[in-house]
Amino acid sequence: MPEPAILTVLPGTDKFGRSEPFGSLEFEAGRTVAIVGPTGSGKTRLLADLERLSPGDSPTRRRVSLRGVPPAVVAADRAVARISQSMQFFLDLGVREFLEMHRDALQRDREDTDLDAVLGAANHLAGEPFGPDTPLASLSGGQARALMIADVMGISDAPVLLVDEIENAGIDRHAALDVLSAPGRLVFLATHDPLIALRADVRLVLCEGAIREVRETTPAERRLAARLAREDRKTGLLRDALRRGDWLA
Amino acid sequence: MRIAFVAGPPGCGKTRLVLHALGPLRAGGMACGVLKMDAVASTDDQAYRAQGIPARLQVAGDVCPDHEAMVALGPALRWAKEQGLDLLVVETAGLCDRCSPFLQRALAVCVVSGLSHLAAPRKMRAMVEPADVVVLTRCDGISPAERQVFLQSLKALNPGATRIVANGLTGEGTWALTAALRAAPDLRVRDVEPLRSTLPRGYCHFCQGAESGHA
Ligand SMILES: Nc1nc2c(ncn2[C@@H]2O[C@H](COP(=O)(O)OP(=O)(O)O)[C@@H](O)[C@H]2O)c(=O)[nH]1
Ligand SMILES: [Mg+2]
Repeated sequence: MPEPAILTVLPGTDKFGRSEPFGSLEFEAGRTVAIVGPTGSGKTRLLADLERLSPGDSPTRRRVSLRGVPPAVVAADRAVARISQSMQFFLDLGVREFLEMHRDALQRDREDTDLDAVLGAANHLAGEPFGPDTPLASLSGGQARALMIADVMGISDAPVLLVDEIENAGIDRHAALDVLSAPGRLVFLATHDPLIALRADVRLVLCEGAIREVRETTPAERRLAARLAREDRKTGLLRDALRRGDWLA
Repeated sequence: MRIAFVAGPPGCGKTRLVLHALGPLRAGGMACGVLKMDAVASTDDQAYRAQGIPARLQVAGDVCPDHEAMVALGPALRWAKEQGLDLLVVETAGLCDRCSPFLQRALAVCVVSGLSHLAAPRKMRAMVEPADVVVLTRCDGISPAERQVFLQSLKALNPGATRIVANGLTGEGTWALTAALRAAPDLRVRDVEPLRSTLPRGYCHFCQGAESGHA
């Protein structure tokens, strides 16, 4: 058995230069970690530090390292993937052409990488269909994020995944997270959504740029999550009815 | 004295990168200074001096700025010696893209913005191909997949270069540039140093400094 991937965060400073209140944090492959805190508390900043495996040259001065992942995967920039709320594409390429270039950039095998499957998955998530020749820059927000998710799954297949406010990405957030939470993957979810936060095993509470607290999800919170999920499905059905123009009661 | 050239199109982040990258070197006691070369005008020297970094502006004016880098180093180097510099960084705008300002023996750093067109590195190949270090900036505005595709296009042009992703606003990634600058070649520079790229075989009247309108 190879050693599982472990990501380590060494403390940096908050917005006022005060040291973060922990010695070091370790996160193992297979865990889901929520990142919560008010807007401006440093959630996206933390994701940026994690994405770069920052050596300490970011504004927070945090140091992030990853072990248990083959060096070739890290060297090919395939260890950490990120999906974010506002992301749009801007390159002047068609969708399929872009996927081909991305596959080659990540040194993925041409035979083993099924780009049609990536396109299919993206269309499934997006709702509004697009084709292989659609210009990348003309995709809607939802389509762009759907393509990024399908790309992360089918091309980068990174052992560490960062997701920034998927609830605002214009796609079905639970469908997206179900797709992204492959077993054995370490997932960080920055979110304001209780239902998404409660998918996590543990959550980091951010305040003024620093990680202030680390909370394991409690059994009572898990029960709450199950109840919220039922409510959420009901709301979803009502939303569909509203779209169709039906009466709601 | 260690000498490094940092070249790239206007606004790609050269000044910000250099300011960040020099931080740890200056903190370690290295005397660092900047020579800014531009074709027409620049206020970058003021930005450096505002951070306490000795800086000098050299405007090429009528002369092709790439050639200026080669022939007009003498006075700048005497200035750098007077300042007692251990490291001289020459910041220079990306010029007509036919040539590059890199000297054969000094460290050559090329900066490219991730917000430029995917074909931009190919158009600037005179600057990308001979560089020792290629820095991709402004990736905060693009998706990770696009950043990876962009890096691949840089790698295809110059597989041997050190590739760095850096952010001129936040300083992320600039420690890698710090390391490259720290290891820049320690040179005794002559008054005229050969360039890495070959010069054009002919010059138009403008390049030769003729009055406009009489070309
Ligand atoms: N968003 C973003 N802005 C940047 C980045 N690098 C530089 N800038 C900004 O771009 C502008 C031009 O940067 P500057 O260093 O003066 O570019 P130069 O002309 O190449 O020296 C400044 O306002 C910088 O703050 C970056 O990586 N991301
Ligand atoms: Mg500048």
